Amino acid sequence: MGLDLKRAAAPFILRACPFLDFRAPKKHHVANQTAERPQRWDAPFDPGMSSGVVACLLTKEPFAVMDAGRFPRHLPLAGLLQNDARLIQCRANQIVVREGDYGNSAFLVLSGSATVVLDNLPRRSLGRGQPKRRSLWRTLARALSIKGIPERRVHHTEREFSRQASPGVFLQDVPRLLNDRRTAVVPVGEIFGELAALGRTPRTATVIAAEDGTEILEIRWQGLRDLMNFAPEFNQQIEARFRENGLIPLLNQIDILQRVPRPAVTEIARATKLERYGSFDWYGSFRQMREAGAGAAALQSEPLIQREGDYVNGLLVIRGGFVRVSRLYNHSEQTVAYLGKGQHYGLREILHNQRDPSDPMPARYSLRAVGYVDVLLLPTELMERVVLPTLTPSQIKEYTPERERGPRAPGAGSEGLRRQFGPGVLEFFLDQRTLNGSATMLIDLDRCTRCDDCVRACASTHDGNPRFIRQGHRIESIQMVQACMHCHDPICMIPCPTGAIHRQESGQVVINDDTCIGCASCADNCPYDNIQMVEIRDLKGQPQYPVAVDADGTVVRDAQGRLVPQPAAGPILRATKCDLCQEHVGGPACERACPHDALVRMDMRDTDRLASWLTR
Amino acid sequence: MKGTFRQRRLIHGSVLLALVGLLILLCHLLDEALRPTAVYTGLLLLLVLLGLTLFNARKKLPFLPLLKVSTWTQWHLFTGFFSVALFLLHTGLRVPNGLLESVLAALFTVVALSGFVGLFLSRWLPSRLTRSGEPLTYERLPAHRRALIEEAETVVRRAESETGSSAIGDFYLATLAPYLQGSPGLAILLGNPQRYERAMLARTDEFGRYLSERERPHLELLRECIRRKGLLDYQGAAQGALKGWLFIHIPCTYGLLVLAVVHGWVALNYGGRL
Repeated sequence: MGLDLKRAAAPFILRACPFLDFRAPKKHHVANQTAERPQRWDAPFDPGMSSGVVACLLTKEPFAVMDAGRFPRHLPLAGLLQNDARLIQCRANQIVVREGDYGNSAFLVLSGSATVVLDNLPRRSLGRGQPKRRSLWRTLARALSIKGIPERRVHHTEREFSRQASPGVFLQDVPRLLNDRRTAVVPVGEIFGELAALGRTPRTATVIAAEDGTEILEIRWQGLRDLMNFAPEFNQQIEARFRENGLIPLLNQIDILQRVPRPAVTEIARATKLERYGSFDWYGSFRQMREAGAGAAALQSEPLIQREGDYVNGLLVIRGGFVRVSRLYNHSEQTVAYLGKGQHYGLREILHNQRDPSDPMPARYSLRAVGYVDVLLLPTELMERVVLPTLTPSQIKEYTPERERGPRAPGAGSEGLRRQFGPGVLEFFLDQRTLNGSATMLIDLDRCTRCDDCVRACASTHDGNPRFIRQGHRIESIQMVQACMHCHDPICMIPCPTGAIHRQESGQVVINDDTCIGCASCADNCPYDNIQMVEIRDLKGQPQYPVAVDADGTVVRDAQGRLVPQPAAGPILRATKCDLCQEHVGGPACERACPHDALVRMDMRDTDRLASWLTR
Repeated sequence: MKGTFRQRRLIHGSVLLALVGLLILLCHLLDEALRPTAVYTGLLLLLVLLGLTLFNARKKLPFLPLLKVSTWTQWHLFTGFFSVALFLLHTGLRVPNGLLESVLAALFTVVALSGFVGLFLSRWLPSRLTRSGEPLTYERLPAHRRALIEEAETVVRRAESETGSSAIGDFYLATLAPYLQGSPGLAILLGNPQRYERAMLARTDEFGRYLSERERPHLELLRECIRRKGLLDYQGAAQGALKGWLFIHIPCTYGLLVLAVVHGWVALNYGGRL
């Protein structure tokens, strides 16, 4: 978004704490740091964040009321603020958060105020035009100009200007835009943007600075998570805000609550329990598990949400992540379905138990968190009293327990998959976390003639550089190809220090080549190994190396005015991956190029489409 | 997702049959009206051939938004079938007697037959390839073969040095080396694909009875090499066949197009229609 970052101490802080030296050299609070292994805070959010600013922040709410003693020694409160937060200073009408964007951080107003625009704003006013697509002629010209040089780029020194900090995006003509739209003021001490940061979901509203000099503390999600973990009052504050702002819209989206009157929805929101299962950074353990080929043991390691045979305490609604639905089978559990965001479990049992209390039906399946799962629990009592009377006859018929069709939410898709391929295919998709993909590349090996037209098409749409390898894990005749899946939960984005890897409004996860610094943190974080680091070359095919710079950062040139490359520093790398051919009109070239309908880009949450594709 | 492949085949097949029926009726009506039916069918056939050739051009331009290639494949397949019907109507099922016409008819037959073979292979082989074992990249097969031979030779050398006997080495040179270095080619696709591998394993087992306890583990390693060679042979032959038929189909298509244009010019010119 290009916020106007003020790395020096902000005026608010200066006014508040005039005795502090804000130019003090930065010290990272890293306990037991070793030189050999990279540490979490080796790359702080803002290297310019001084200990003086941190000391001042600790005197302000909500940090002032936090008990620093609750924080572990290796994650002190001051360390979190110094390394996981940064100060930004905004001018009036500058956009801080833009609806539709994916963000990894929350914001706290330190001085001034911010305005939340609750209604949608026109795309253009948000500095968001139509996605750039290559014209037909440009596509042809580009294809014809391919010279066989792999990973060719304009030399990095020629691109310096594009990396300069953006002056930020401002909302223009604010009185007219906000005249007929609902707004709310975010005063000093209020936090915003935390829901999207924690759920890795798009921002639901635009927030602009209301006045010049508005100072905002941006906290990246890692810090936010730890603050919530070790400061219960802060956690409660976040949860209260979610109940207030996020829960009712969420409940309104659930199909079976569509006919519930508004006051009753408010009552449900008050009684709903918010539960989290699994680890927010699940990918590390997943990698270990996958390397170990854990199988059934992996299932047992997944946190249990609902045990088969237990009483159903309420309707479980999946707010984020994926849930494995399984049942006992001999000495293990057999996966029968999986549930994703917005799907729910338990209505069938609740309906039965209301109709026939003398013969209660326990949970017929176990539910386990695959990775990280956010769940809402709508208590059974409330469901029986408020929700069930509003169900339509067709809904009641659909969920009537006598119709033994397995869990409602996965629908016919999962059943189709199981019938056609047996339970193995579902176990595979869950074990491999394939279901995280919004555009997973699947190949039907029974139709694939191994012609590699898909790879060639990919190469010819990316200047001769294919962005995937036609290999990968397989189950029966289905191969899950090693291509970026554009995950629903794109954990590759989390550690990127420049925001080069980002998610577009359409959901595609793409890398901005101009701002990628080749640190490989995204590639290291991708649990599927679908991001490759490549050595880039200049337009003549020569490897690009870092060039010598002097103390003030100016590029050094020799007597002939040439740049002085530093081969000893190693070649310059860039992260590359599938971008779903975002610049091309027709969509992913791999899928369009397959002559035998063997390749598809599949949203793995759409089990109906998946089953239909597999059983063609 | 659209309907199943079976439904698609049924719809496309029905349309094809209807079109062929219509074509036959049209030809009959033209004949009845004493019109030059052969000229019309010839021109239509030339246009159809040009249309069929565009398929390859489309495959070379994957970045252009010109419908999915699989849609073009369907068009290519069913138009190909249609072109055969058109060809038969055009020739009136007569055997050509002139040189140009004979070559032209032969080229058309080769193109059509290679197309049918290609279609059959692309529907028959993929599932067999999938079930044959670990998927291997065609371009890397020679490297796999070299690695396999090196591994087998290492086993033989180790057997000799550890046991002091040259029996395994002799057996390798006489029997295994030709098998590992050679290839049954496309013949492996006909009949039981494991027959070569099984024959070699049987000979290895027969030889095993003459070995000592110390030598047998080395022979077991060679047996594993034979199994892997079987997979390499099958993958090489199947993937080669899937790619190879195009080396007949495409060049002949271009030859056919050139001769068809010449034939058309000759027919119209010397038929007094130009």
